[in-house]
Amino acid sequence: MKYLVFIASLLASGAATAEVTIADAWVRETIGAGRTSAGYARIVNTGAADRLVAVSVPAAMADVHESREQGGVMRMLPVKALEIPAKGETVLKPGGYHIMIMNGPPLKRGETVTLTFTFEKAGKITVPAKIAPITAP
Amino acid sequence: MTKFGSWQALVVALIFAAAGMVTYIGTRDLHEKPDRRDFLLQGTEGQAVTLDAFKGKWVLMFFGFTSCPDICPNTLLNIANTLEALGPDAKDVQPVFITVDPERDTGPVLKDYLANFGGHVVGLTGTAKQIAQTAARYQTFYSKRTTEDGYTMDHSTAVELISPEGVYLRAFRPDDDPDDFAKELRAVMRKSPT
Repeated sequence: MKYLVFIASLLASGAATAEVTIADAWVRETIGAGRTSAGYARIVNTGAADRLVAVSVPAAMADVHESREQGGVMRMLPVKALEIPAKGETVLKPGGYHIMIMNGPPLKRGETVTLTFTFEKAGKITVPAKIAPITAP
Repeated sequence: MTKFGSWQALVVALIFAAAGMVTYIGTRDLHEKPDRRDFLLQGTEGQAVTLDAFKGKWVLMFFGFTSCPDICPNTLLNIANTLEALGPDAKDVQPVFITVDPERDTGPVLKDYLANFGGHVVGLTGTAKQIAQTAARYQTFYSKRTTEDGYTMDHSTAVELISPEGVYLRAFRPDDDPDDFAKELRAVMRKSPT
């Protein structure tokens, strides 16, 4: 029996593909004439390692960025491909990785916006994201 | 090869003595002269605003811009939470947000934006030169960086504390826990004769 389980797990790992899901997606509202926002989410991967290569938002420009402090100066740097570890998760959260949303229509709190994530292996995943107040933590 | 004579040694000794004296005077000045960092900027109604406008308040000053989607709302939120944690002492504290992006952050834009953070934050803008001078005085760095979609600003994120007499005290990190930040602020405020 133990032997069978071992074989089964070997088979399972051999056949593993990226199994990616997206949870807790939200974006910040824009204020007045402001057209810049940030989006966040938890990317959970139950399969093999994958990479997030693009994100899109209707009628806006969107890129994955990282807020990184270098010598007391905060910079937002574009991230070409974000690693999603095998059987792990990558969290996009304030002060770290985020989706930079620019030049789009106003984002009003309480409404939702559609985010499309493109992964190297898992392909495209579209989720609704809640638009939260600008003061959301 | 020349011999290192006693007069050369004397010259070296004098140079060291002079350097020591300069250092001593420098430090003494730093301790005796209050560190006032005056500025001239513009309020959201276009009025001139100087450091004296905040006399009697503990100023929490920081530099940012309203098209900053990730860091600036977080800093503003952190300051709002810190004021809440300060309770009644918050009435003596004035947060001041100075834009490093005067091109986009005009008075009305700043006013609209800051109204979302409890309405306690004073927004300041100015000419590019006024902002550059103020930032330099507060050892704040910022620079415009062109991106595929337009431009963004890299900037220092420290929150600076100024006493009710207009004296620069110290900088805080914006990601300090609001309760810890409030505790540290209260300790500084209690020590002061004001």
